[in-house]
Parts: sequence; structure tokens; C-alpha cells
Amino acid sequence: MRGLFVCDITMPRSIAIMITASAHGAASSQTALAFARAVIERGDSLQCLFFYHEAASLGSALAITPQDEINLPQSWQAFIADNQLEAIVCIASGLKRGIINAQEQARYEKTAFNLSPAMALEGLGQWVEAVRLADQHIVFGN
Amino acid sequence: MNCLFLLRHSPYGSSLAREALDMVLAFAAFGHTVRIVFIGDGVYQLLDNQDTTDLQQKNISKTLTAFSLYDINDVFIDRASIQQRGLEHRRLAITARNADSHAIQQLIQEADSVISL
Repeated sequence: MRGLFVCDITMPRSIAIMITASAHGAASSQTALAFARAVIERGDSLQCLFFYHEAASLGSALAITPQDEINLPQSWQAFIADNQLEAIVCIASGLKRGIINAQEQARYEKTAFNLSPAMALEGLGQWVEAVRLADQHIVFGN
Repeated sequence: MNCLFLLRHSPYGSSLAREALDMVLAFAAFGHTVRIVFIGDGVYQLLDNQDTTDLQQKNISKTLTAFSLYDINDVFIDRASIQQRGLEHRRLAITARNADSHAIQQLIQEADSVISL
């Protein structure tokens, strides 16, 4: 009996994840990381990690936390780099919140940029495509 | 792709409602069929005569009235959420069909993709 699931859960799947929770404002940005790790450990693939809304703050390479606390932006960035994943900070969310790369720094004549090299700044269209291409998608938000 | 959005947040308490609508329009602009359910505090987004002058925020109903330009016609509002908030007799900024939990369940089943924001 196959039960309710239409897909064969023994086959590797591709999964797209969107995070909307901020680094420190909600536990779900940490839950999302645990979920993403489990996806990789299980042998499934991550189609796309899309950081939207307050989750843009997870793209900052400059976050510093006390030594006895988890540095969530750093943990995400290390996970992405180690597994060579496609990770996107939504450009509209990022610009509003001061998460920018060298290109946007030059465009808007700012004094610095702070986006982690593990991540790219791209538009919502990337997420639309990821949802279309992935077998499944999930949102971690508020 | 048939995409269903469950919009759950009040319009001005955070920027999430606005950014969720941006996402809705992006899916529609890429040619996907979009259906929307306003549920929970999300029903406040639909109220007519919103005046955001004192809030110094963009009025969300301007985005709602753009739905038809994006061929978004399937807009639903959760009946229980309206009743719980005593909004049964309030006018809405755009046409939205009443949906009960059974109808929403049906919409979720019919969708290729469900995004809850």
C-alpha cells in the first residue's frame, strides 16, 4: 500500500527551501538549517536555498555573536560552502536591509559590502524557477 | 503550475504582507496560475478604505487592485477568520469569495504548489 504519498519516498528528491525568519527573531531559521542538513544526510538534493524577507540577515558575513551562542549566519554560510549549494538572498529583501554585494555597493555608492561569498543576490524569479524545478518545497517562516 | 498562496499576516505590523504580495505577483508574472486565500490576520489586508497616511507606509490595497492586471481572479477569504474578528459586514477592497475550511482544503489539494506566508 502506498498510503497518501504520491511520490516514492525511497527515491532521492530535490527540495527547495525558502526561509523568511530572521537570524535571531525566530527559531525557524535554525530549524531550517537542521532540516537542510537532514536533506543532505538523507541523500536528497537541495535545489535552492532562498533567503527572503527578514532571512536576508542570514547573508551577512559580519554578524558576531557571544562565544556561548550559535552564530547562525556563519553556520548557514559554512553549510552552504561545504556542500556547494545554490543559495540566494532576495535582492529586494537584501537591499532594504543593508545586505549587499560588491556590485550593489558600486551601483549605490556605499562604503562597504557584507554579503557572504557563499551566497548570491538574485531576484524572486529564481525562487519561482526553483519551485517549478524541485520535487518539493518548504517555507520556514513566522 | 497551479500555485496557492495562504496569506496569514496583517498588512502593516511587519513588511511580510507586502513582501508576500510581491511574491504572488512574481509567480503570476512568470505565467503561473495563482490562487490566494486570505486567512487569520491576513483578512485585514482586504479591508476597504485603508488610509496609511499617518502610518507613512504604502497602502497595500493598491497592490490588491493590480491583481486583475496579472490575471489573478481566484481570491478567497476564510469565513471563520472574518467571523472571529467581527468583520462580516465590512466592505472589501476587491472581490473575494468566502471559503470555509472544507473549500480551503480542496484548494490545497488542487494546487501543485502551496506557499504559506
